[in-house]
Amino acid sequence: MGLIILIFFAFLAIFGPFFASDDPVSPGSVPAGKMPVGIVSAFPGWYRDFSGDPTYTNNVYVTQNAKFSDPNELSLWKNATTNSGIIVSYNSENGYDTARKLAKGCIQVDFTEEGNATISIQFYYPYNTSPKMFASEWSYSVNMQDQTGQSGNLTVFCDFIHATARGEKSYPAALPLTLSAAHAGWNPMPYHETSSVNAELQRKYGVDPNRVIFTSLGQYTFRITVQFSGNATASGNPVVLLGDVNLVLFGNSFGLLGTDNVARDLFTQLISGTRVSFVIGIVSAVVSVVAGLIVGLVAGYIGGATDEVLMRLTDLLLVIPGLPLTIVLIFVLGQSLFNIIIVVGFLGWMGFARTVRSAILSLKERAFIEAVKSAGGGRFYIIRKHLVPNVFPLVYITLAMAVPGAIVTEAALSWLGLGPLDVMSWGRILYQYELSGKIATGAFTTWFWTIPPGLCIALLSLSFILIGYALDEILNPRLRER
Amino acid sequence: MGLRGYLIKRTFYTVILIFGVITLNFFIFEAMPGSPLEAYIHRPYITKEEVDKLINAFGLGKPWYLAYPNYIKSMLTFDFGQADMQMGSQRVSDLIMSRLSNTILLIGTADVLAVAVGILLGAYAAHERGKLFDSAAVLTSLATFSLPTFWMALVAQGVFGFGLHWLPVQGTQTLPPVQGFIPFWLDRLHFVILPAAVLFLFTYGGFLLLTRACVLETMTEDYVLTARAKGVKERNVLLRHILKNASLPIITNIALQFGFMLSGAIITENVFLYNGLGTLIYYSINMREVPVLQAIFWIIALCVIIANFVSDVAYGLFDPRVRFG
Repeated sequence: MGLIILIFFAFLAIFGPFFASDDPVSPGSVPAGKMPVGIVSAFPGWYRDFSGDPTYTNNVYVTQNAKFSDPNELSLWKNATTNSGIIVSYNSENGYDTARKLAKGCIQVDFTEEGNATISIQFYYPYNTSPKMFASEWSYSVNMQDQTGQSGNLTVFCDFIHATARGEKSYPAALPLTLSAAHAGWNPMPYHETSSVNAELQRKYGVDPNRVIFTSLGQYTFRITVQFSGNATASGNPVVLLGDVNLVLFGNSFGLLGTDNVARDLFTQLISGTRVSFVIGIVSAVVSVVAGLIVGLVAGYIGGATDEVLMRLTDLLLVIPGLPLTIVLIFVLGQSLFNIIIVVGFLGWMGFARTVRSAILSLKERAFIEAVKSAGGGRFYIIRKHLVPNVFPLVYITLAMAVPGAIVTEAALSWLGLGPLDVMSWGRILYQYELSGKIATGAFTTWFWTIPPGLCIALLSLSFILIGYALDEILNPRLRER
Repeated sequence: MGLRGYLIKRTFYTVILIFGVITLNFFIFEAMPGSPLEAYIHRPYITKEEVDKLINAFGLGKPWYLAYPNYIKSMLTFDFGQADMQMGSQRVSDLIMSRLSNTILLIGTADVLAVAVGILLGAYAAHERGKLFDSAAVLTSLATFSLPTFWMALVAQGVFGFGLHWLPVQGTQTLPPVQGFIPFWLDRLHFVILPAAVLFLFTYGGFLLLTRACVLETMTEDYVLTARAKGVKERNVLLRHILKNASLPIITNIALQFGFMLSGAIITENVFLYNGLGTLIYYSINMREVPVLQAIFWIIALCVIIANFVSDVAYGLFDPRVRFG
């Protein structure tokens, strides 16, 4: 039972990076220009199906498989021109993708006369509830000669077309963008710039544009129109390149566990926390068990003054309040993964040292040790070959039992804001929950943020405790008889 | 070695331990970065002379070998001086006493319940060993034991405080305090319910498992068989013969848990901003209130030492099977 849970978490910890790609610790808000994974405080994606509540919608990725980076993807787009002197083609040499890197592949529009070129993609919007926000990121490049007074005007329009029984209706999706000769080279239109369009449109529409445009489920079209007016020859036959379009209609639910108050994926954070808890739990348990084993062996086997000193030291560390001491030491040493492991490890060996010592004290008097001694076995030989193997069952059990303590201590430290700064742990997820103030405003609507980390801590701890019990039963024959 | 020799040895160890704790306390906080004066030094209009005066007043300028004897004296006489700055220059001992009484109200409520429920359920679980009740009791106590306290506290706060508005969200009492003796204490209890419930959930599991183990151990004794053979009622066998004999390790464990609980409440108190020792510790760490921290660490350690000593001696006095040595 414990083993199953453990294997499950180990799997998450090891393979986590493969199915959770969002950066879990990006501080504060999403980095400038990067498209977020969802809207702020989005519900888990499965909540809609689970609750049957139709007001929840998932994200719709309009151009996910239809960017301009692959000539095959181009077939998903329709293009049309008003005049034969305007040519829309695929340019496989140039390109600029949404990750702000030069890439290969983009749409090229050549103008040898006045007119419009349109590129459009049809998509199905599957919900009767409108999305919360639409946002895009794309890039463009203009090749045009500006001979004063003679050059024409290049403008880009974007709109959504909704086809209903009553006919097609067009809604502006962005403000007209005027291009000029100054836009030579690639110009990114990052997410933040395009999302402010939403606010502009809101002023224009008077209400949330999403509610005006996406009134019901059905076929929609996203259309980009490039318009040129003026003398094409005088402008040196303008060429417009359009790179990688990424258009997302954000719903209010996303992913497996939704998002936090700055639109970061909570599932990714949880996965990242699994790794942190594993590392801290296991390494500091190993540190404390090794320290306890050494102290116990030395104290028990050598005895005398060494024993007295070590045992008084053990008592000393046992009576000082543990958690406050840990907090103070983290303050002294600084917040980092390494320091937490060291502090938790070195404050956890005392109980085990006592156990080992008493076990050694009784072993020492046994006949077989006497036999080894009389046969000329040295001190280290006896410790290595006879004492350590005899107390080793204890090591396994204590190891399993020490892990939960370390995990919970790390979680508590992180929750207090004293955790490592560069990783996301389960405690830190809850710390951010506390910081967000969501507990006061929406205790019942943020359960997907609070419940999972706590359950994960408990389950992982429980799995180690159960394994410890099982080992105890296997390795301790006295318990089996009862 | 007889009882007297045992007592002398124990006392000797205890005295060593006390000095060890005092010394360790001193050096940990010597190493703590930042000084309590930082709040003053960075004020714009403070002069060098005034800083020096403050340094002397706090005894901060001295090297450790001069400060140390002074420090030991103050620890042994429980004269911890003034807590400075944001706390309105209270005497540290007064501050701690007022906070300690709050914490004891909280921990007392939680632990009396936890011990009572833990022992009763534990004994019953042992009686029902292997049956559904036993497995359920063990599993739930393991589960609540491994749930982090701050998480339970957060959830409880969210559900019963912010969500349902049944219980106060945080604090120690209504401000300004309610008039009248009975209403005042009822109000205090009202504020204690949530944090105490969380602490209770966290601690009862340990007692349950301990009691269960002790009772199971005692059940195999011959006198239990004799009692059953005599025809003593099963209930009486469990309560009078088994539980009574199994109670010694349970009682000593309660004594040993004392210090653990005092410091264990730190997290719960911080979630509920309950004005106890826990919040004081965390606040003092943040504010570098070293005198307060030293005093609290010392007092908690002393409580644990005394509890250890008493339980050791009690074991020796009450359990005839324990031989001294």
